[in-house]
Amino acid sequence: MVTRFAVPGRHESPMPGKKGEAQVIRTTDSPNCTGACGWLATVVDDTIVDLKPAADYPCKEYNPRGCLRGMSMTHLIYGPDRIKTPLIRLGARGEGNWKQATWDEALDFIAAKMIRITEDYGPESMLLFNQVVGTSYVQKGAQIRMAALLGMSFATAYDYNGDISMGFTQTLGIDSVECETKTWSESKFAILWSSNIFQTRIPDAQFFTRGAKQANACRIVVIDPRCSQTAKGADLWVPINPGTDGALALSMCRVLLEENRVDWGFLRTFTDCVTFVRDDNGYRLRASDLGLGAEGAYEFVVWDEATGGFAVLPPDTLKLPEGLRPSFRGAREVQIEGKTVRVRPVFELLEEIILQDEYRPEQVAKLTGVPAETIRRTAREYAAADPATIVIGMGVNHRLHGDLTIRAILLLSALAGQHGKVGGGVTIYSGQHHFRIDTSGFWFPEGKRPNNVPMHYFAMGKPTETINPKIKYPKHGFKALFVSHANPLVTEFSTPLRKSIDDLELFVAVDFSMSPTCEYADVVLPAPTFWEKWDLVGTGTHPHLQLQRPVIKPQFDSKPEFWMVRELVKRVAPHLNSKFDMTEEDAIRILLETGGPESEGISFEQLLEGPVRLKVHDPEIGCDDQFLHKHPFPPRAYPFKLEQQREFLKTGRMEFYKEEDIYQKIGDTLPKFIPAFSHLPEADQAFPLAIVTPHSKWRVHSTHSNNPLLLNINRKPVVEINPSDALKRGIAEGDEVEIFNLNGAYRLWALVTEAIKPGVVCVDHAWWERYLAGGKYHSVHTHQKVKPTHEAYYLPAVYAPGQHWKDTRVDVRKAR
Amino acid sequence: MTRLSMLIDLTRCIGCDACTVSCKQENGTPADVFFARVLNVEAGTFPQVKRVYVPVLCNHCEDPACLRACPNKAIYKRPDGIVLIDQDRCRGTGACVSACPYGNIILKPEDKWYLPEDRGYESDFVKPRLNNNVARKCTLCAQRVDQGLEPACVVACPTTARIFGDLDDPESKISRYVEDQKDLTDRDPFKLLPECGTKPATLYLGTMAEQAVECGDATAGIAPSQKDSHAGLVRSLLILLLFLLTTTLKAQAPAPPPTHAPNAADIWAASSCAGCHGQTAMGGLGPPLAGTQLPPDKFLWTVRNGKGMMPAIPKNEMSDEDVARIYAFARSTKLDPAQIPISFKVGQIMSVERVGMLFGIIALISIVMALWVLLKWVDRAGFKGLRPYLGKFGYGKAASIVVRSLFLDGLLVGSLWKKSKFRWAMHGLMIYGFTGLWVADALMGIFNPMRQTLPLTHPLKILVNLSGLMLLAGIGYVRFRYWKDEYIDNGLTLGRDFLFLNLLGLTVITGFLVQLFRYQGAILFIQPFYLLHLVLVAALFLTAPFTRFAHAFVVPTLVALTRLTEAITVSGQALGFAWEPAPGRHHKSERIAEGVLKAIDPAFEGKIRLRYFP
Repeated sequence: MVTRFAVPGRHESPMPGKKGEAQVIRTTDSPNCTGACGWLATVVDDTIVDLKPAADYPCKEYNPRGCLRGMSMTHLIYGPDRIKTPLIRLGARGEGNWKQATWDEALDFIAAKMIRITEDYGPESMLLFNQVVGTSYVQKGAQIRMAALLGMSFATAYDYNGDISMGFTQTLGIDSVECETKTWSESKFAILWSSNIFQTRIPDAQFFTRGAKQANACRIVVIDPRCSQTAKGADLWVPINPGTDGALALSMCRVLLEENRVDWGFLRTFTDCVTFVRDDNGYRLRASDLGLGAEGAYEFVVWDEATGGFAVLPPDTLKLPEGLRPSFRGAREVQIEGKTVRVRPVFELLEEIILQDEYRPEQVAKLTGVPAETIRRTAREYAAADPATIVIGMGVNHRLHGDLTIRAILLLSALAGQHGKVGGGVTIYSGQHHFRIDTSGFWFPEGKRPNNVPMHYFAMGKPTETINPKIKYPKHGFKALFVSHANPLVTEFSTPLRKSIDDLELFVAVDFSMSPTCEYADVVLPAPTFWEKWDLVGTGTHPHLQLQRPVIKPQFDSKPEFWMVRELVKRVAPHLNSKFDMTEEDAIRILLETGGPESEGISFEQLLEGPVRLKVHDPEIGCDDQFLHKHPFPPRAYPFKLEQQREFLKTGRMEFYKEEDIYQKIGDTLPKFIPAFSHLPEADQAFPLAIVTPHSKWRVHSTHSNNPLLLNINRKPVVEINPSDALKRGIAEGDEVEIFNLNGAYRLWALVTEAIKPGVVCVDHAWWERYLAGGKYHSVHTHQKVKPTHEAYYLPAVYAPGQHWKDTRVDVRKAR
Repeated sequence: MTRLSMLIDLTRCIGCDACTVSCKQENGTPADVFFARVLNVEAGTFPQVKRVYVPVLCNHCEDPACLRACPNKAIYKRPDGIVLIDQDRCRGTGACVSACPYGNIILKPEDKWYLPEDRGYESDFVKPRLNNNVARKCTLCAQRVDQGLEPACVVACPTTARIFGDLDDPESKISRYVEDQKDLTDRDPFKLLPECGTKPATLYLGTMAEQAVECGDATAGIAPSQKDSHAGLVRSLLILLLFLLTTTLKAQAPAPPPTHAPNAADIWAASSCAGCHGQTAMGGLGPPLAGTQLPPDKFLWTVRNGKGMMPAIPKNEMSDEDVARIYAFARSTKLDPAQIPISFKVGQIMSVERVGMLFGIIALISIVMALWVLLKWVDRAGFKGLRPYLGKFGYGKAASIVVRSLFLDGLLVGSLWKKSKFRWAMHGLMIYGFTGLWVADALMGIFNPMRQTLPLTHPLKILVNLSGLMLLAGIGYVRFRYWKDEYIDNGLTLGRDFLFLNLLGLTVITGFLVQLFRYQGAILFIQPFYLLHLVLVAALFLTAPFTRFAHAFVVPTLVALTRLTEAITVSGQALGFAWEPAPGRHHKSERIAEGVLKAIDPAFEGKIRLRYFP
């Protein structure tokens, strides 16, 4: 039969009316999802006409990687919101009155202000805020390099967003340590705990569906108040009451304890359970207290049942000395500086908490809405499976006391001994910040570092009273703000932050799309998208280094951040010119050379060929050196020095007891359950509905909000509400409704669904206000608040305050 | 043989819509046009809720309803199983839109686009590839398949939930996957809406998650095959021969006993051969004229005026006396039945009464079959699913849309008028020629029940001949088109098309021949050709519901349904249609969802709904 191809579709190149040859280029993108997926871009006449997953990872399991967001980037690259030229504000902030400027005008304008602010207030009054530095090291790195050289302040978005998982840092000394996702396939039992990875980790979800479930008959439990997209793949869906996850975790711990399903060997080796806590001051008993070690050294003792005396734990390894049999229970009395002090093992303290009646499954069932039998069975199955994994999402983390919940979950996994196995462990995906290589070589020239300050203090307008003394909050406050790769004003723009911004003398936004943050800036600088500039890309989810290459020229008058920084430095500090006398390629070479053992031997040329697996264990299980080689915790969090981390994990073991004064003061020394919302004023607590704001598959945070293609499928912002809640309020499917609480209100449309628990409503995270029926998405969020335990130390994006804007309650009513 | 197919493993699918987007990019489809999409199914009542994602795409059916429905032969099936809509042939009639039970064909009068006019991406690389106002659907990325690549949705699926390959090749990826999953996970593939009988190629494997709650291989290039237009002709001739043979065999059966008392039926029946030859074929003119039942005056009248196939004989050719002599001879002579020629025996059976009865039955059967066919189309179009929305939409409004469409799109062939006036005219010749013959036959029954020979100038004769000529012209044009058009073969219906065309053509031609023989008095040829004519008419009627003829009533009905669905879609979100990314298929998607849930969990009972937002 004769056919002809009069069918829609890309038949052959060149395209109709176009003479150019089609070129296929391998690159990767580096959005904030940190997926770092490899793409093949087909380019004709400097236009990307097609994007397909490259599927060329040396670890075949990872092929293909990619998702709808990456693929639809074409509609942002060529989209209506691209910023075409630098813009300088003419009217009031946010008025939308702009002057289209040349680069010289814009840069001169910024430079003049920077020079004046530096002279008047010092360079630390200028704050750089950029997003997800953990994935692309060159463009964002150049900005940090500038901040370091000029002595500017720098704030990371990771902790500002609240993505930082402080429960991890408190327990493991590092904010998040992911196993590489392919190991999920090996799991026999998985708890996806308020984690919607089928939407948020699309390229990695296959390791649960194709791997664990289909090939390994893994039993998957999803704990979520919504029958989420991920619950689709669950064998058991546990619709928990929002904010009660900590109680559930502790109750499961109790089941393991009561039924003696505890991996004592694991606890003994890898945790602080066998160390002792002093009754008198709540500090951990040190070897030096007993005269067994040097003052100030991180040396701790255990009670050796073999010898009937205290023995010092070796500080440089987790390997227990031959014959040592540390005891888990039993108070002892020791003489410290002439006083008799009662000391008790951490395990005994934990046991005391867990065995309280409030964590009995029957009690917890009432609180969580999870039947006691489910709690028992799930705990048993989790402990019995070999291996079993837990993935935590931000449903757990984005709460004021999310750190306690995560500590409880880590306790559960430690009791069951599920760490250190391929297909085991606990992974958190509430943001992601894993640096694959040491970036100091490029970021921090000559060891100079920017003045790190958590963004919270800027947003609150002033530092807290409990601010960590190591943080140098600028004497005159902040006078200039540079926001890059970020759109923070969509999720938080409460009165204190608005005031802080209003007080700024300079507000520069760097972006490729005219975002709500750009709309409020003084100067907007057009940046290219990931498809128009070089970068070196790494990610936590899979251990590959990749090159991001400009497959097309920067659109309109946009310029890479690298170029912007060089031009700015030329104007602000000409004596530093030489520090930027390099190309992006040079920067990548520096990064590869100085990246540490992980990037050893990886060359630029090799990366031009395709992705290269980092020099890490295969498979990488997270904390490999610790679990496999018994090196003390924590693994190093690049680009910082290990010693800085050891400060907050002195035992070098998984710490379930935190001894610092502030923990003792607020009672957070041990994992425990504090109900969500309990920190809210009573009037706020009285609102009948909990709100959850999951990240949706349509966006990476707020990026792609304005993607016309994705908006064509996901047409309107909706609030998911159970029919019983809707009925009470006279709300029908499709009605325009208002979400409100004492903080504010916004309007959108109702989606009445059985797939959400009564008493809970759900709105996808970070809708730009222009798509809402009215109001702003952040209106109902609570104001900034910092948990004082998060200030005990400070290491940006490792030990830093989290955030809890969304830990709030609301009500919904039909809009007029 | 090659049978390209896709298997979608619902265990692997996470409903991420990467396929949806990848497809849009590959095919450069405008806003609201989705060849691949994912049904977001939610079933049950809290807490007993199930969620299932059902990726759907064109099923590239073995027996595609869209292809059969297309009046323009724009939809064709390649030998490898891919069903395509030829964008140059499509006239935007809209029949396929309703015909597809899966709602996978999209026809929009105007395209909306995503990006600003001045950006090259769409204006240079996307828009030029698409025709306006034509039906579009998934092509299984034929353009990629022909290069040995897998479809875009397959390569983009981040969970490799889509397996592509040749079902007829036991070593292909897809065949092996099906076999492996039978062994490893005890799952058998199922198809969507098997009850629609389209035999989809796309396979699905069910979800493995319990969801309990407490609280490709590609073929390079296409081998061109011969047009089988001759096969159609041969087939229709064979059928004709079979008909003739059976009738002749029947004619040799013993004759029924003669009725000696002539009655009104006899007289009515006189409009056929038997009118002259007697109901028992033992009378009338022509050798041997034995035992006529007619009285002498009637006999004379018949000779002078002619009857049925028998021409009138004027006095100058045969005097009244000669007639009387023949009559007397015929009355008195006894004839050996063995000497009666076969044509007499045929005439004996084919009395006007019987022919009338037979064609009454044939017409009834034909109408019943046509109705059955039509109802099947309507059911396949998902009308049942649409019904609940009609109440909200307004029955009156719905009825007026349907009637209007039947008149404009059906009777007046609106879509052709817009696209090709010449083809529209040719359609008119066919439709109105055919209708003219029907009308003429009916009028003949009223005004000339004896079927006497009428002069060519008689209005009825003019109507008959004009209609016949119109039909012949129309058929001639269509045959010419079929001969000239190298893309006419859609890979499935060509045989049936030719069966219809040839039957119709031969019917008209034999009709004219019989008339010619009658006027020429070529008595020997009249009966066989008349008989042939009747057989052709019977064959035409009996095959009509299943041949190209059916498009005369199927297409207008489907187009009317399409118009109705369009109207419901634009009427607003309250009906659940407007929130669907590719509007107008909501009811069909609901049906698919129900089917899938039944396949996954036969025990499941509860409400099922589609969500268009995550």
